Amino acid sequence: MNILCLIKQVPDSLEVRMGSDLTLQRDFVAHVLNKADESAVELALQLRDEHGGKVTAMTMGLPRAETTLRELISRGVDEAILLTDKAFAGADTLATARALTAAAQVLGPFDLLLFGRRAADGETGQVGPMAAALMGIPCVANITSAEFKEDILTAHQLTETGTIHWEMKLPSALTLCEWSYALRLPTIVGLCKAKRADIRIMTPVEIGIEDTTKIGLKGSPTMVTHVSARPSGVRSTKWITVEEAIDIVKEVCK
Amino acid sequence: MKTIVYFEKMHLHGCELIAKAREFSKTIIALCENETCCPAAFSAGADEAVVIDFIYDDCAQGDMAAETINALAADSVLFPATVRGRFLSGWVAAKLETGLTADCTALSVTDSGLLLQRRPAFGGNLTADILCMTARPQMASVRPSVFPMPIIKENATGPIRYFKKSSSIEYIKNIGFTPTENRISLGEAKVVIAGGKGVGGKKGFEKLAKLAKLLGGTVGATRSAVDAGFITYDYQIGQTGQTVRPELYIGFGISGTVQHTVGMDSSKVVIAVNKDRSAPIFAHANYGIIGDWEENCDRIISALENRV
Repeated sequence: MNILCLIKQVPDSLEVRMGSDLTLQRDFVAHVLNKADESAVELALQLRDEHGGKVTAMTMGLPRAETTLRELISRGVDEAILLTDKAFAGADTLATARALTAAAQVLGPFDLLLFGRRAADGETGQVGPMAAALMGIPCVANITSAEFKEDILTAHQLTETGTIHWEMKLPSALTLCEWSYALRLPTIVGLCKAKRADIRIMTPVEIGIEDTTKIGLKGSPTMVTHVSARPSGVRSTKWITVEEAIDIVKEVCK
Repeated sequence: MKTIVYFEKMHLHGCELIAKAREFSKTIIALCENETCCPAAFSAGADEAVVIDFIYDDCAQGDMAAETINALAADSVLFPATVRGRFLSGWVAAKLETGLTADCTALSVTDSGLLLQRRPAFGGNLTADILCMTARPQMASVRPSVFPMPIIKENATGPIRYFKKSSSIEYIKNIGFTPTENRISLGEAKVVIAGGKGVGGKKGFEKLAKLAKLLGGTVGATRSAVDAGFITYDYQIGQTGQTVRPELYIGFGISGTVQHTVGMDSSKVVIAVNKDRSAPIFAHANYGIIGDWEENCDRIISALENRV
């Protein structure tokens, strides 16, 4: 099975400043692999271990995202691709999905695309479904587990009221929930491999995008026009003691 | 502005979006997955209903929604941000190659007639205003219960059109459903005892559950508590969790990011307990206690246990 994991490096803390152009200033905090993406990578590794094939991890981001890709190689990923170029910068979810699908088509064909269900910073959860729609392949979001047997992929989707079970043929795409699969630790062999690994860096032209007005800030239909600090609260607090609190609780819940 | 509101068959949250859209739209079309949705849609203020088939395949449903929305040529489209609605909104926006803003907490129209979409960003530390300048339609998703539910009158009527799709591809096949174990749902709970990262772990949440049980309520959590693995995602309150509107909300060890407070601001009585006097949660609370969460929780538990 040829699997592509679409991953993202996110800030370790959410106290991030905006630049004057209203895009995020990501340079002042540590960056880590997005939590939900860990589940996606571990599922990919388990499917490969069971059915054979290859796991490729790809991200679009700044050159420093290379460290996250190397870390994934130490944990068992076979190959890593970094899409990095000024033309990719400032992308919204649609422009991101366009770049990722263009790269997947050039590097593929892949049997399975795995995403985290959302990034801890943007939290839109849109990129996975958008990429699948652009490619016209089946996609289910919010997956907690999945199995592959006799050419059929079965995936279990967490919803508000319970779990829906779906079947689909490959190629397809899934977005994984945080905590679904615990990502394995690096191995000694993996660490050596990660050190030497050749992380392939690709630019828009190399993934077949000649028209850069479709990607990055230029290719993004949505524009952040204003950013403000958190709004102030809706209530004014009255300071009370725990005894007073107990009376209030008893009064409200009588 | 001509607005389409996507109306899922399984719930009435489309009504909240229609009532909100009424504030800034000249025409509202409810795009309904079943004709049973139409009376509620008209009651909430829709001018017209367009009924499409309900397909047990979210991808095929997305194709059909995209085709219909394209044919209706609207200025903006609103989706409820349920797990399914949020998936459909992404699928449709990609098919129509237009902009989509997830989890909006405010919607209005600018002087130049654009849909102004506001959403908390970066865990709620910032609020971003977002416009979709050139692509159409302008699409947004909104979490259930973020806007108030209007009063629904039965038997409301209006013009209905039916859209049929000639053929559809089968993408995914539904093979079953396992309901979540039976417990009080957060959205309907009368009492919510919420905990943040400050409660320290799973043990802390067991204590909160004990208090919740004494009051006939349920526990809730902030995103950071869920991310830290203290409790599962289905207890999460906030922008990327659920919205609660209980009679009583007590928050322990919660700092109060917008990510969380957008999900609890509609609670009737709010009590917050935090060590830090300057924690933002206090600006969202009627009553505040400065102190250790556990000590105060224990005191309330023993007072209630001694009641009987």
